[in-house]
Amino acid sequence: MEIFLSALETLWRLDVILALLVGAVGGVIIGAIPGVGPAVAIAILLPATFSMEPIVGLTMLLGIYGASMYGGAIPAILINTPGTPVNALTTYDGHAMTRQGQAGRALSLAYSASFFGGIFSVICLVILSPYIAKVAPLFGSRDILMAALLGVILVIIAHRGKTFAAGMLVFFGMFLDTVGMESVRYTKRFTFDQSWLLSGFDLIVVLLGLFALSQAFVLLVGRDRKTQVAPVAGKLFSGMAELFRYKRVAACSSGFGVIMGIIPGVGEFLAQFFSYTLAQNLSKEPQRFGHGSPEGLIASESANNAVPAAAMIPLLALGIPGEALTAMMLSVFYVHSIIPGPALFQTQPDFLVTLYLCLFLVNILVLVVLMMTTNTLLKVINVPGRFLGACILVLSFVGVYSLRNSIIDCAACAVFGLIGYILKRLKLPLVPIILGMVLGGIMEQRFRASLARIETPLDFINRPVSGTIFAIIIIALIAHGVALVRARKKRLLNPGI
Amino acid sequence: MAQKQDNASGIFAVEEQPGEAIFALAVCVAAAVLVLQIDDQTKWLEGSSLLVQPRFWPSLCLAGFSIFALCHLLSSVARQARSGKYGFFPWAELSNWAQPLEYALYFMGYVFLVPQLGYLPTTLLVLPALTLRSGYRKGRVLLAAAAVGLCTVLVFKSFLQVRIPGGHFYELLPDGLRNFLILYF
Repeated sequence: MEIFLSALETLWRLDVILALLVGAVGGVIIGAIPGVGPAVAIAILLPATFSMEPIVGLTMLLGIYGASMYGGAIPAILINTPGTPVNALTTYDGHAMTRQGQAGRALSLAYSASFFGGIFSVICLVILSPYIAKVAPLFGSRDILMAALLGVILVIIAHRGKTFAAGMLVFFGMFLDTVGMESVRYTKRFTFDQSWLLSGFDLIVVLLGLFALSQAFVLLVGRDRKTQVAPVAGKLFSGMAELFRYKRVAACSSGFGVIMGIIPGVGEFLAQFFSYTLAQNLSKEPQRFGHGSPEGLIASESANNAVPAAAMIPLLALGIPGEALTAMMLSVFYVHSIIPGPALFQTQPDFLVTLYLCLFLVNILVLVVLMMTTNTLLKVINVPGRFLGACILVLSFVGVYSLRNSIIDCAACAVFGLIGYILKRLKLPLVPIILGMVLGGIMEQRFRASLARIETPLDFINRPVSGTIFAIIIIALIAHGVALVRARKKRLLNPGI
Repeated sequence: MAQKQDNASGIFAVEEQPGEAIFALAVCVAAAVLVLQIDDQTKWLEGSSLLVQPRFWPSLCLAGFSIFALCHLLSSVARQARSGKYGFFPWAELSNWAQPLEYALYFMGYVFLVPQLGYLPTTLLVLPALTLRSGYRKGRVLLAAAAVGLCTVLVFKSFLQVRIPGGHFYELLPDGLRNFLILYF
């Protein structure tokens, strides 16, 4: 109770309230503009949050993360263009409903499902916290090493159809992290006698290049789209009542979102995919999926909104980010010397409770904002792309230059921007590079820490936790192999697919 | 975006992209160059076991990088040979890859100008100029660009106090104004 009251006191501070508002409103706007997305916004804002208190910075970033998915549903439903990549499945049924003249109903359902998913995952986070606090200290170096390895493997195999490319990019990210002076023997690695390479590649420089600057390039060299968006009619509150009719779909999908959020390296795409497929299989009207099914829309939106809070679980408990956005947030912890991991639950429970309350409030705030301002928000959908690109380019400068006022950092950021641009043209994922950098660093550190207790390679997995995670890795690899064989057989039987 | 399908697997649909084989080849070459440099660019400490060598971890990363890059190259070439949709050198696509170079140069120009002119004047100059370069000619859009530039400076430098040093140009201004500009703009 004392911790809860202390958290409430922190929450009542003006800077935290402002961060909540900026996160919620800013996130919705960013999500509603196709071509920006939370990764760009968080990458740009990240260095600015370093001067804030950790709870203020994290509240703002988490607000943007969560709120952008709500906002991303608006263009997905109205103009068939997902505002953020994770709203891709929302277009299937959401836009179909718009074509049938039910845009208001679709938006209302999407908001309600998103709210349900968001709150569901925060409740799961709160319920799971005492257990996480008990389990997390059981994780030693070898266990965290295995958990990070699981993350790396899942990142690779979760990119169906692009497994080799994802593997290549994960290892590229891991390699980038090794560049510079290593901290144990103080030897140089791949510095090519360049003094600026001694400190290696800063994660934020790479992030800003790959996510923000590359997106600026994409928009600047692209063409503006012009779409007519009609004002949304109807009561946006009505979706709550309709959602109640599909409570089983919403609960199952949110559950998938939570599970996929907890598992490092998986994220929103698989959560959406599994929940949508399950909802379709369980539905009495599976043929309506993809043609305006409210169940499909609920499945997609509740699953992806359940991920952000759940993704905080491996980050807070083990210090292992599950996807790119929580990897970015890890920097906020490190800058303020807060080490996420098992000890955090013992040493700073009030910080965690404040964070949970912020996540809870962000969802309520976003829902209120959306219910009141949807028709106003429609204007941002049509912000010209090239103009937006110019703005992102200028904003990227703040992020990278304010780190250490280094022109070399800016040049490196520009190079990563060009790499990111080519990867985007090739439709290759950027997230594996970032996760490779972060998880690679964690793995090397834990690997070295484990060596004192290692005599044979089997010692890495002779602890109950590391052994269990290793078994999960093997099962995941076998399941992936089986899925590949099945897909190949299916292709051979139906060459048209 | 992937073509819409009736089931969710559409979000994983992989379409062949022009230039993917040449990109995969370039990555393979880069990986090979890095592998060849490993002897020069990392240290091997005599008397220490393999696992504690400073060379061990980068070698592991490069091994993974090279193997996956090679597999990616083979699968890209095979896919391209199967479909015959794009040539090995799709020149149009390769010229597309070079297009953002111009904007990367503008970005670097902005980076060099800020310490000279100061953050506010450079931003007020660069953002409308970029907007103009992007093809917008209406005064309203250029004004909006200047307004966004001003807001950016106000939010990040004046309000959030991010670390961007004052420009050399500010040194030419009278004392009071100079200090004010260095601190807030």
